[in-house]
Amino acid sequence: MNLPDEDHVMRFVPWSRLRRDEGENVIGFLPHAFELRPEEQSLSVNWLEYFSGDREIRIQESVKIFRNTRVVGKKSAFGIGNVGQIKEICGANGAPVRIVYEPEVNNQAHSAIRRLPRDDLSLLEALAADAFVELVRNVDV
Amino acid sequence: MSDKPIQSHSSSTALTNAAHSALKADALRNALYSAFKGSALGEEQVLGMPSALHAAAFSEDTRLIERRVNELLNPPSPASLTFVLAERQLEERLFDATASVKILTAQIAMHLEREWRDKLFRQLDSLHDLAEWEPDDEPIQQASFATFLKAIVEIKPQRRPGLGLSHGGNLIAAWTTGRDRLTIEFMAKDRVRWVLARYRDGESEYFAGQTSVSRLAEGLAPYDPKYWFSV
Repeated sequence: MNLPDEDHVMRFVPWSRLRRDEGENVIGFLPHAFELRPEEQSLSVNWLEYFSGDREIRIQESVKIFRNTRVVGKKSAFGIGNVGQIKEICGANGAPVRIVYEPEVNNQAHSAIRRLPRDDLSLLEALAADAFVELVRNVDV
Repeated sequence: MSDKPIQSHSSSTALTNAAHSALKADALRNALYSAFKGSALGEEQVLGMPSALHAAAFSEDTRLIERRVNELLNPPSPASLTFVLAERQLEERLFDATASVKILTAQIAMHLEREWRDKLFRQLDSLHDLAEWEPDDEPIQQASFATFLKAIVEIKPQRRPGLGLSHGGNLIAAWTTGRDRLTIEFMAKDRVRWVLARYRDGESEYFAGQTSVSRLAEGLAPYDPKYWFSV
């Protein structure tokens, strides 16, 4: 199932791929936060609208799942992007991605960004700078 | 915005879970001893007497402390030993990687101000923070760091970059001016790839390139290097 364009997805970003200024203040994401690992076929995200409740509660529920299913360091953060905007930005950069709902046993909100090219640094930068525009720090949830 | 102090993870300051447990056990043992010290009994008697007597004679808090001490003294399970071992191996890998690039830095110390070198070391420690480490990531690669050092000597940026790491252990340097962003990934064999995002009249534009470190300055020349690197 394709996620609706008006919905949102959340991606976990470890400390090493957060963009920081020279004072070590977190100011965004590095493009590498959205880079596929060699063994990955798609980029893992959580579908926020899978959860009921207001935006705050959805964010909390999604973070709870991340914390239960992987290592989530105190200094890590989460990026939130609008599905339609992600698709538009990828399309404009020559990558017509699909964002699909792919629930997993321990993560019913799991979704995937498919057809994301490897090694396209401009596209990754566009995702980091203009698609995942909201940053939520783990310590704030 | 994060304003937390950078954590240092040299071998002298970082403690494994096992070491933490040992310290906790010591602390609790001391607390237990202190709790009994005021009694008329000697230390040996106190630590050796049966728990039934404890239950009758001492407070709930004291018995709780004793129970926790005993729990900590139980032999660890094989599974927890494996976990501790794996964590120790990872910690050693991270420490070794950090040490090797610090040694590399020392070899070109004359090209770096002391203040920047110290800051760079703190950034490297922070990148290898065990508590933040992604299990499948590679620690910083020496070949990538060597490329980074060559680039820094070449372009001599007055503004220091924020640093990051790719999955594969390539060092990433980021300069940010307002919304505009320059990101450079340093790879092995003196290769670099870079990308910049600029905003003009609200419209974003991206430029990217891949070149050798010796031609990095030339590659960035059309994009006003002073804008990124000058204070």
